[in-house]
This record gives sequence, C-alpha cells and structure tokens, in this order.
Amino acid sequence: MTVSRRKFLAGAAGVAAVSTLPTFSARAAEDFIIGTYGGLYSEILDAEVIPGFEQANNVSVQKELGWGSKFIPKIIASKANPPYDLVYVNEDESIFGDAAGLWEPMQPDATPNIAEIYDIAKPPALPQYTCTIYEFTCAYNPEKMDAPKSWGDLWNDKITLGVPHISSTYGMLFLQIAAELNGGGVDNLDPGFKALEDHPSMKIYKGVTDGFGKFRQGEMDAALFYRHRVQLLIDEGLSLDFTAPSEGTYGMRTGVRVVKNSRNVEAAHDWANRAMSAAYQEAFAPKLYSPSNKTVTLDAELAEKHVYGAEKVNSLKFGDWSVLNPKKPELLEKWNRTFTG
Amino acid sequence: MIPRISLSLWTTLTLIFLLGPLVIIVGGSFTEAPHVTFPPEGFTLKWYAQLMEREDFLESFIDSMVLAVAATAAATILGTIAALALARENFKGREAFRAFLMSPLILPTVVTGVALFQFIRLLEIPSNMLGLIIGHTLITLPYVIRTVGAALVGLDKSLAEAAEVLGAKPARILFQVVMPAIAPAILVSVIFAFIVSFDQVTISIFLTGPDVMTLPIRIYTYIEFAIDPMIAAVSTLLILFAYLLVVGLERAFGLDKVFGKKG
Amino acid sequence: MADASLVQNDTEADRPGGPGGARDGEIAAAAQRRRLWRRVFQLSPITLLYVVGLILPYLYLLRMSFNIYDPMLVFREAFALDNYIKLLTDAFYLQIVAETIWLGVAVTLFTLIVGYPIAWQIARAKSHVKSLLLAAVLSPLLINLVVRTYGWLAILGDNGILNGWMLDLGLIGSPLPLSNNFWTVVVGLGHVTLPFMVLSLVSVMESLSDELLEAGENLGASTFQIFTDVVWPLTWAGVGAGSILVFCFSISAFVTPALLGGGHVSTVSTLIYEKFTFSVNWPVGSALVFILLAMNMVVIMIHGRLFRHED
Repeated sequence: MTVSRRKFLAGAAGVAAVSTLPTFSARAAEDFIIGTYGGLYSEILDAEVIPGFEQANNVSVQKELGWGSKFIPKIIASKANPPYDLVYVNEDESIFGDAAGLWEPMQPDATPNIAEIYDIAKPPALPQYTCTIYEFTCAYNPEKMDAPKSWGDLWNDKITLGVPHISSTYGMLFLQIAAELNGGGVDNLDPGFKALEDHPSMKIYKGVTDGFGKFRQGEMDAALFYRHRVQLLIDEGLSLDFTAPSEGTYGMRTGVRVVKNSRNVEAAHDWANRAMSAAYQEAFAPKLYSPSNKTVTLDAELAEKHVYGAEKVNSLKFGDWSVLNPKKPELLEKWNRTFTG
Repeated sequence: MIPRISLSLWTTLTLIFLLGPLVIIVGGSFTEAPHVTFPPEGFTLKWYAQLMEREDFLESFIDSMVLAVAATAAATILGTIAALALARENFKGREAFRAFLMSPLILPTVVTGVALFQFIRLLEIPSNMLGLIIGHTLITLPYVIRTVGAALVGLDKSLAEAAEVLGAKPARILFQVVMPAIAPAILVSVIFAFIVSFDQVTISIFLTGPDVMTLPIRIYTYIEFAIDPMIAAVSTLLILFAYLLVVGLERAFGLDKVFGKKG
Repeated sequence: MADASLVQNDTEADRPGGPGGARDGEIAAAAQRRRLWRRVFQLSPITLLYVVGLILPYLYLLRMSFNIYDPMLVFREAFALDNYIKLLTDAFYLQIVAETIWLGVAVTLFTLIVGYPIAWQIARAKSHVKSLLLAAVLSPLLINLVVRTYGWLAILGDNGILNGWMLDLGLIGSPLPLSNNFWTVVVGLGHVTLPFMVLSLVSVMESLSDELLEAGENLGASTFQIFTDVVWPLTWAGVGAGSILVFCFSISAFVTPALLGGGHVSTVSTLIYEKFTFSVNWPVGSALVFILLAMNMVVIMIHGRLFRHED
C-alpha cells in the first residue's frame, strides 16, 4: 500500500496547496507530459514504451488520459504555458492545430523513422507523426441484408441504418459519403444531409460505445464503423460482417504532435520517432491498432484482421480536412437544425 | 384506506425505477460473459480480482476521496454561513445575491472547467488538485445554500424569539437553538455535496491532469467500446462504499434523530 | 459569528434617525455600521471564492464572446455584438433555449410527482425503514454517470430489457420506441435528480407534526383537504429548494441529453459543449454561455418570487 499512501500524501498536499503553493509543483523540470488515450492504449504504453523512453531521455513520463477533443481546448486555453509536451491526435485535429498554430514545426531530421512511414501518412500528405491507420468499413447484419455492393445499398427500407453523429471524424466522413452518392462532394455536403434525412429508418449513434450497444441490441442493421471494432463484435459471436463497397472506404490516421512551447522539445521528438518505429507498432498490433510503418511484418492470421500492406493502405480514401475543418461550425449547426429540435 | 394503498403502490413502483439500473450494474459485475449482460450469465468474482490488481483505479479512488472531502468541508462551512446570513439579513439585492450564489449550478459545468483551467494556468498555479477543489466547492455550494436555506425558512422563529426574550446570548441561540434545528439539512447538504463531488464528470474533464485523475474520469477514459464487467465491479464497490457511508453517518449522528424525531 | 440572532428585525432598525433626536440617530448609525460589518464578515469568504473561481475565469469568456470566429485562427480579436445578434435573431437557437427550459421544467415536474409520495413515506416511516428508503432514494446518485447512462440505454432500447419483458408478458405487440427521444432524457435526468427533490421535501416534511394532521382529521377534513390546506402549503419551501436544484442540474447536463437523446435532443448545454470541443468555435460558444446565464437568472428570479422566503 505504499503507493496509495504516497498518493494520499500528495492529495493532502494538494489540499494544503493554498498555503504552500511554491513547494508543491506538479511540473518539475524532468516531467514529460503527454496527452494520450485511456484503457488498453495507455496500458500498452506503460508496459512497452514508457520505461525505455524514460531511461533514454532521463525524464519522468506523466500521462493525461483523454482524447484530442479534450487536449485541444486545453492547449488553446493555455497556449503560452501548454499543459502537455506532446499529444495524440486524429488527422483532422492535427491539421486543425497546424492551422491554429498549436504545434511545433515538424522536424524530419529529428525523427528519422518517418522514412519508413507510408507516403499517405506523412508530409506532404499529412503533417503528423502517424502511428496508427484505421479503416471505416461498412458493417452489416447478414441476416438482414446481402453484402452491400455500394454504400448506396444502405438506403434500403428493410434495414435500420446507423449514422455516426457528426461530432466525430467518421461522422463527417459518412456525411461526405452520403453527399458523394447523391451528386455532392466535399464542397457540397447538402445532398448528404438530404439523403440522411430521407432515409426511411436511421439511428444516430454517438461514439464507439454507443454504436457497440446499438449493434448488440440489434438497433442498427448496418453502419459505417471502425473495422477493428467490428472485428471484436464478430469475435463475440454477433451476426455481423463487413465489406468494402465499390466506392471504397475511408481511412483515418492517428499520430502525435509536439505541442508548441513545450519545454522538452527534444524528448518529444524522440517520442514521435519511437511512435513511428516498427517496434512500437508491433507492440500495438495484437490489439488491432494497424501500423503506419511499412516495415512492420505481421503473421498471416493477424494480418487478415488489419489494415495491412501497401496495396490496402493505398486503396484508402481520406477526408480533405483543409476543406472540412473550417466547415465544422456550419455543419454542426446544420446537423442540429436537421436532426434535433 | 385507498390513498394509503395507492401510496404504497406508488412507492414500490418508484423504488423499482430508482433501483433498476443499479440492479443491472451490480448483476453485470458477476457475469461470466465479457460484457455486461442482464440477466447475468453464470457467477464469477474474476472481475473483482482483476480490479484489485489495478493500482490506477485505487489511486483515482484516493484522489476522488481527498477531493470530495475537501470540497464538501469547504462547501458546507461556507454555504451554511451564507445561508444563515441570507436568512437573517435583509438587505437590498438579497434575492439577486441569492440567485448569484446559484450561478455555479446554472453555468454549464464543462465551460466552468475550461474557464477555471485557463485561469489557473494563467496564474501558473502548478496544482491541478487546487483547481479541482475550487471547482468542486463551487458546484456543490448551491446544494448546501438551498438545502440549509429551506430549513431556515421552515424554522420556528418563535423558538429563537423566546430564547432571546429569556435573555440568551446570540451565540447560544445559534448553537443551542438554530443549529440543532437545521442539523438535518446540514447533513443532507453534506451527503449531496459529497456525492455530487464524488461522481462529478463534467467539471473535472478539463481540470484533471497527469498528477490527479478522479475516479469518474478514470472510468470515462477507460471505457473504449463497452461497459465491461470490471467497470460494473468498480461501480458496485462504489455503491457499497456510499451505502456504508450513509450507514456510518447514521451510526455517528443517528439518521433517525437527524431526520426527525418520529420512529 | 459573535452576533447570530436569527430574529433581529432589520427593517425596523434600518430606518436611521427617527423621532428620537440626535443621540438616537447616533446609536442607530452605530448599529447600522455593526450590521454592515457583520454582513461583510459573513458573506465575504463566499464572495471571494466566487470572484476567484467564477467571475474572473468567466471574464475571459465574456471578452471572447465579442470576438469573431475565424476558421483558421480559432478567433479574431474584435469587439462586436455579432455573435449575440446572430444567436438572438435565429429562430433555431431561440427554439433550443425554449426547449432547454421546457426540459428543466419537465424534469422538475417529473421528480415532484414521482418524489412527493415517497418523500412523505420516508418522513412518516419508522427509523429502520426510513434508513432503507433513504438509501434507496440516494442510489441513483451513487452510480457513475457514464455507467448509469449506458445502463438506461440497455433498459430502454428497442430490444432492451423493458421492451423484452413487455413483449414476453404480451403487453405489447411490437417494441415501443422508448429510447432516443425527449422523454428518455426526462426519465434519465429525473432518475438522477430525484434524490435532490425527495431529500429536500423530507427535510421539510419532518417538521410537520402528527398533531397537526390529527387535528385536521378530527375537524372532519377529508384527506384531500388536509393535503391542499395543510400539507402542501407547509412543504412549499421544500418544493422550492428541490425544484431549483433539479431544474439547474437538468439544464446544465450534457452527457445524459447527448446519449439518451440518441442525437435528436439538443439543449443549450450540449450545443455549448460541441462548440467548445468539436467545432472549436469559442466566440459563439461563449456568447451562448451568457445567453444561458441570462435565461437562467430570469428563471431563478421568477422562482425566487414563487417561493419567496417569507419572514
């Protein structure tokens, strides 16, 4: 119970912090603060990544768990004295932060592993140190419908279509898919709204947990969903399958960025370099986080479940966030006008 | 007779409504399936065993305890003094001041969290715990002020008047007449404040940091794709903990005494 | 807390001077000064906390609400009323404001109707039953918010537990659409706010004496009459305290409406959250915060009138 006592004393010190501010510092010089994901992701970091990194850089890694949508507001709120040295972000957030000046410039020289990353996941395609590639597949219940050949097959009055809420990367992408099916595109998403609104039976899901619950309860028969998450549901024995419709599927690249005004820029770039290494990505591969590093080798059985290999990776489509990001406020408003109230 | 029966029936239905989700979560913590199911499949304690090995959850529990105790103490003391003052003093703008004191509850707590976070960074205060304590004290204060305030309205003034006529000193009136009368409300405030702080997600989202992570935020960030039985196990233990707290309060102060003289 | 008389009649003493001449005036002035100091002493700690923890942090957002959103820079420094004008002249936003208030009122009525009888039972129960009932009433607050919300989704889903039972019992032919609408949110919020209402009522109902009710009965009053003429007026303060807590909790909640509403329920709070995190439109988000604040201040003032703290 030594840990708990230490924590208790630290907590008690926090209570007393009003009177003893100068002595209680959460951010000593050697602390290296990252914003990263909770659950499994953070556990793998603890086991496989952090010990080696701490030793090499002589720092103590402090994790704050959450998502980009939490990290970015906190960085904006405290730009001069940022709460993190490095954060994990999705591609749209990375591009947003680039425009808003939240990141240190990328340093390819300090991060040599970037040479091993697929072209679509590094500059100039994407300003980010990418460590994971996801695919948004078309998941469907084979008892309710045949494998959809086109995304358009989901507009079918026999099934309930799961629609991801717009406040997520894939919510925006599904809207774009719906627009493209109806003569629109990234510059004209209105046909997408109309198509979603006109669907005879649709259900909005908000985030993976909600989507999981709705699939399990049979409330959705088909939806755009993370491929590796669908796999989990299939492994559970649910009547579910997935397919890549003829129009293709969208992908998402997740990675890290060094926060502007970080006090540990050098260590942060070392972290970024490690995140792009084959060793790092191989540690995450068993849990279905697909690699962005070309040199990662997976055995056939595992590879089957992954977004894996140059052919597959290069077949993915990606959102044009330089166009979509500035539209977010307007799209959110239109979404709320269309589906709520 | 009919009103009495319908009253009992209504109470039974209300209890089912209140306890329904709780039963599902508690049941789910013993399931052998990898996710929460109802009714539970089989019976196992493995999720509890798994939880016991998680130091991060234990640390978060301690963080939440420290925070809830500090915030509850601060809110109860400040709130009771303010409620007494508001009940007694009759100044211009009193109602406006009362409304102002409710403001932490009507401002969106997420935004309060962002604003407070920003302010604390601006002052370069290096403790996230301090921000959390200020934030939690602010959002629990309205509960104390309202609950104690309501008890003061109902307080039989003739009692205090009689005491004053008999020559009792104001301090004596406060501690021997007023305080015992509002003790139930203060205890209710303590319960509200503690629980509101202990289960607070929204204001804490932006105020927690690498040095302090409360249990609700730990749970929030742990859940990736489903409520797994381990989370149900945490919830079950927390429910147990809170019940023990209520029982403890009862032993210490006598809830039956505190909640009135009947029984 | 030297002077803590509850019965001090300030209105009388607040009149300085009076017919008593100069000396009385001096005494009155001294008393007034003392009273002033007493108020300052009692109310300054809490005021200080509010200034440091609330007013100063929110000043930044107030300034932000006059800035202009810029898709590239998050915001552009400006001093314009554009955000307010846009929000207050847009029927959609006004509708959301109205719906948010309606949600708060609906949840409050729900907890009052569901909670009043059980509060009564608790207030009249014997001590061990009372403890059990109290523990049961507190239980919704003890389940973690996120876990509780997903629990409700499991119960109220189309193929959820409740629909499953009703289908098995043959009460319904096909699943009822219990989830993903306004009333799901009311039930979810009503569940977690019920303790506030019930306990507020209990702490007031405790003070009703058995003699009072018996007297009513002996005078031949019907149960209904006793309720409307005796019980209801005397528990009015508890209704007031409970309703304001429930109302405020409901309108500022965002996780429950966002998840239980199935994406079809927007409140001012969910909009604010989305504007601060997803679209990072802080200027409009901030303006929305102050509109919410103004709107709630009005509600609380009306509430204050309705539940006036009588002397």
